[in-house]
Amino acid sequence: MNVVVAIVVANLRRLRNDRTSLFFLVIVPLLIVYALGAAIGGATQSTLIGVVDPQPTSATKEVRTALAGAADVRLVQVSDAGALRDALARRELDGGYVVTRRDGITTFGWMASATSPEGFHVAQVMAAAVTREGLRQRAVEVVATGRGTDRVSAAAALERANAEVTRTRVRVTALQGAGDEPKSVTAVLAGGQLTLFIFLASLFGASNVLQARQFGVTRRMRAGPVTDGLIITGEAVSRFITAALQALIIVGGTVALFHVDWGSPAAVAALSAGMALVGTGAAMLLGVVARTEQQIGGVAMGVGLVMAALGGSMQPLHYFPDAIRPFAFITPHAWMNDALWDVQVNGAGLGAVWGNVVVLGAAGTVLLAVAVLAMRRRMG
Amino acid sequence: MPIATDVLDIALRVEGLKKSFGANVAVDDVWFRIAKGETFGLLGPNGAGKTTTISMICGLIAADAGTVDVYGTRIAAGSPRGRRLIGYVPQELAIYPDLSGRDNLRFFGRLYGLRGAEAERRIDEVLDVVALRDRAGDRSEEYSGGMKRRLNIAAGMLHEPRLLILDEPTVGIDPQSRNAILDAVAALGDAGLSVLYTTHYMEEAERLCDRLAIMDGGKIKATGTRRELVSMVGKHDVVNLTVSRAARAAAEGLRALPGVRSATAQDDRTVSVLADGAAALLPDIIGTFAGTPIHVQGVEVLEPSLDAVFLHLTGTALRD
Amino acid sequence: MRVILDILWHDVRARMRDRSAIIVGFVAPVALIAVLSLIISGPDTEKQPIGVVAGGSPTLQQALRRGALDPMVREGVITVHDYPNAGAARKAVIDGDVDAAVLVGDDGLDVIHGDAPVGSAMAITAARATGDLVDTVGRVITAERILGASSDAGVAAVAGRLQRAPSTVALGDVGQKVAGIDAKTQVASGLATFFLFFTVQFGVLSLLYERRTGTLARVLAAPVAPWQVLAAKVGVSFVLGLLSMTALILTSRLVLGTHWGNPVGVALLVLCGVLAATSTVALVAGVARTPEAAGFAQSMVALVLGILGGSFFSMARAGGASAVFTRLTPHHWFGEGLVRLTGGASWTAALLPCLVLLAFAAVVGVPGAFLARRAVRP
Repeated sequence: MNVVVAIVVANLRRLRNDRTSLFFLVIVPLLIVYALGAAIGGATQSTLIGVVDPQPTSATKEVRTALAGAADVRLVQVSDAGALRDALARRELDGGYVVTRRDGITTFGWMASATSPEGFHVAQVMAAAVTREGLRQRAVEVVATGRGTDRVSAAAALERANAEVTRTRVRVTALQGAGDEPKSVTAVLAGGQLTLFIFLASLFGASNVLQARQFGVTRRMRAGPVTDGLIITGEAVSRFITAALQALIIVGGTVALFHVDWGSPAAVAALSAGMALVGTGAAMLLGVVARTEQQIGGVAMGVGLVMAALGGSMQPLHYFPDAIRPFAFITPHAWMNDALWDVQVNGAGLGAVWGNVVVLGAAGTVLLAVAVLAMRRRMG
Repeated sequence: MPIATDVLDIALRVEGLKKSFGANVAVDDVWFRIAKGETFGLLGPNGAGKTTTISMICGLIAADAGTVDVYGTRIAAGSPRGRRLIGYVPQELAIYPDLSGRDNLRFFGRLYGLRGAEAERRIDEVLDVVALRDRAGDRSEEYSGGMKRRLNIAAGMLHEPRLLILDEPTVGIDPQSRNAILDAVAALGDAGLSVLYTTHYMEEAERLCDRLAIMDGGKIKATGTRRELVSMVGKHDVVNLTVSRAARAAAEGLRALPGVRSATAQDDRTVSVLADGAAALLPDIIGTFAGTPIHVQGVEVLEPSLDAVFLHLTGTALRD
Repeated sequence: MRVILDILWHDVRARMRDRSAIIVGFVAPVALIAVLSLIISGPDTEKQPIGVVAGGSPTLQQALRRGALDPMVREGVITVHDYPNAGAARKAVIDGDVDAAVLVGDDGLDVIHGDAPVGSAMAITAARATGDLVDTVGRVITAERILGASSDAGVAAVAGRLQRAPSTVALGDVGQKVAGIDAKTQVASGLATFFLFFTVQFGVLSLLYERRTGTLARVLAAPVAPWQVLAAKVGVSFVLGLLSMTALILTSRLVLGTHWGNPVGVALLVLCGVLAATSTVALVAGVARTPEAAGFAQSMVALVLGILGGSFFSMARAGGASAVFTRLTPHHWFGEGLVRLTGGASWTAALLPCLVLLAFAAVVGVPGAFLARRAVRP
């Protein structure tokens, strides 16, 4: 046991003295979470709609009010059509409309980036609002011409009719937890980064395993009264502690700096521990298989980022196309991100996500077992 | 004296070289010349300033003062002028491990403008000289230490330089490779190439060099042929004593003895004594320790040699 | 000049041989671009499936289909699926076959929806528009009665009159498209520029490695001026960066169907972008003392600039300090250039971003080259 502690302490000392590792462990994840928050520009991922309406009238105000009332829509005043076009091309806005007047007709022209679909449903909302305003005017027109009265009387009659007519009921029901948009997008994205960096930090730790081999430290230890099992355990515990440290830094840092609400601490801790075990297994395996540090760096960057992308750390699994989503679950990342979404969005606790924790633990155990077998073969 | 007066017969003229790194004076007013076809040894312990001197000769670092001329061409740091005349073999291996021996030579040849058929012909020639031709296609990282050294040397003589500069080419290699290297250098010298050779191995210098300079503490202490240098210490002999203890105290005692020119403790148990006529003086030397707690356990009398010269000039023996 | 090319060629071949540059400059970004472009082609690009249940008020049913859903179908934003009863529709929503379903009752409409936000919003909009239409018809009939008419007008007739009546508001050409950068291309360009800053380190930073291994001294002992060695190594960075960007652009275009716009403009952007990246690595080589420190510093520069410059996620909506930071990065201006080029603008559209990139290269690269001379002058 003393041997394991000694190996762990030596490894942690080396980590503390390594500026590169500290940078990747502390600064990079927090910087990414910060930038994510900044990129999204606040707590919710609103659809941003540009409005070019220099001289508002009651009709244009009606439309604007209707749009402002639509879910997740934020209206932004834009000076002219050219500026709207530029903003759309840069994807600063999801869509927008331009109000123009000619011969007494007010035209609402919708504009959207050819390749940005986000604003499409807002276009429908705008069309509906314009249509409603048109209907109101037409009703006056129809009554006035049909009864041969002036428009003021017609409008007054319609106003009275309004009170008499039973409005068509429109009821909206959400099924299966619909409307489960994340409370805070930053939280969900921070969750994805937590998964990504636990795994990435572990993989970079593989160079420790390799160095121990290369520097002959392992040989020297084996020359002493130490079993291979203890050496391997010491190394594995070091990897696990590094990964857990990474989790702690991200969760603690995002809470302290960006006030991220992570949800159930027990669930987040259990999931992080599961992922840390996966990272430990992967790092040990990589450390045994790799021949140079450059290889480890390349594999860590490549595999770490690609698996993170596929596992929903860069784009929430929730927004994956249905055809792709099942494939995401070949990565451990997806099991963690899926559970984190539940925890952060639906307020799930450990009880609701323990299945995912078990999957992570099992995957980590298998990886670790393969790594230990490979190590023993190399040592033997 | 084989020092030529015609400028074109002087392969290398070094005048008043100085170089300091901060407060540390690495090279302090160094002067020497190498004649055409001469093999010249720069002999000195580690840290004597040999590599710094060579770096200035090759134009790798700028001198604080002094000049270097190779066949009449002034060498200056940062200028390619005259570099083609010099073949430089650095002390540390300077080859690409992931390239084959031949590809290494191709690259370094190109830097000197060697290409095409002429390059291949020269590469074959130098590979023969260093006996690497049959392994030329292998990656150099697969070579033994000695083979890497030989490739290192081959890269320096590829472009047929008129002055070859070898900086301690035999450090840390097996005796067999060392002999191969020394043979190759001797052959180059015999073929008329001018060679500047630095070493801290006395026997290499004695075996290879026409003339020698002894360098210590950044200064040239003496220059000449082996015979000239040895005659400087005259009939002095070197006596190495192995004592039971307190070599320093022993050296102190010996210095008082008439006929002893110098006595230096080399380590805890070895004293080097420079004496006039060792055979006559030996009983007195041993007698010095009678009645002291120091016992003489071994005596070795060295014939006049560069070792003696070195000891005479610097007060220390030349060792690793 | 020839000797510069000799060293350059030697180094480029060495980097190709040890594969490190290929992995960082090509394999890793291609894999990442492929995965990301798969997962970002999210649900929004498809037509939203909406279910409609038969029955209920015929007026409402007709108004829903003709008045609200048909225009959306024609617009190409939804597909309509029919279900015989509420249970079947509910099941379809739960199973995710449709995003939402509209049930027509005798006196109103029920929208049930799942968690697909866009399809749900469209179904709700359609239902409300239907309600508006039917209510307005009812109001017209009532108003006419109030004004003393016999209420013999049928619903269809009133609806027809409404449709023909004039109004002062109109929809313009809804669906007018602005050519913008598509998500795939944005991902590809972001990652390409991100990895570019890692790829270029294989050139200039080899100066520091070679100084340690001794080959640099040997090269400098040859008839080669120090500036030529420096120029060659900077050239290696530049060439590797250029190769990486070109390979990534071509691959993502051929395999993933990204759109990059005017080739001349893109080529200019790439040249200036690679120059900017090379300048940062020259500065790092000039400041760092050991190859390890330099590698670390370059990774730091690449990560910070990449993240702030929007390589991973668009910073277009960032405000405050982040909006300023992002405009200080070459990554942002490369992206800005692409935004201007996509959609058929001529190459001149890329000129301003190119100038900014060149300015960045000058501001960073000139002191960088000045300091990096240290590396070739022991």
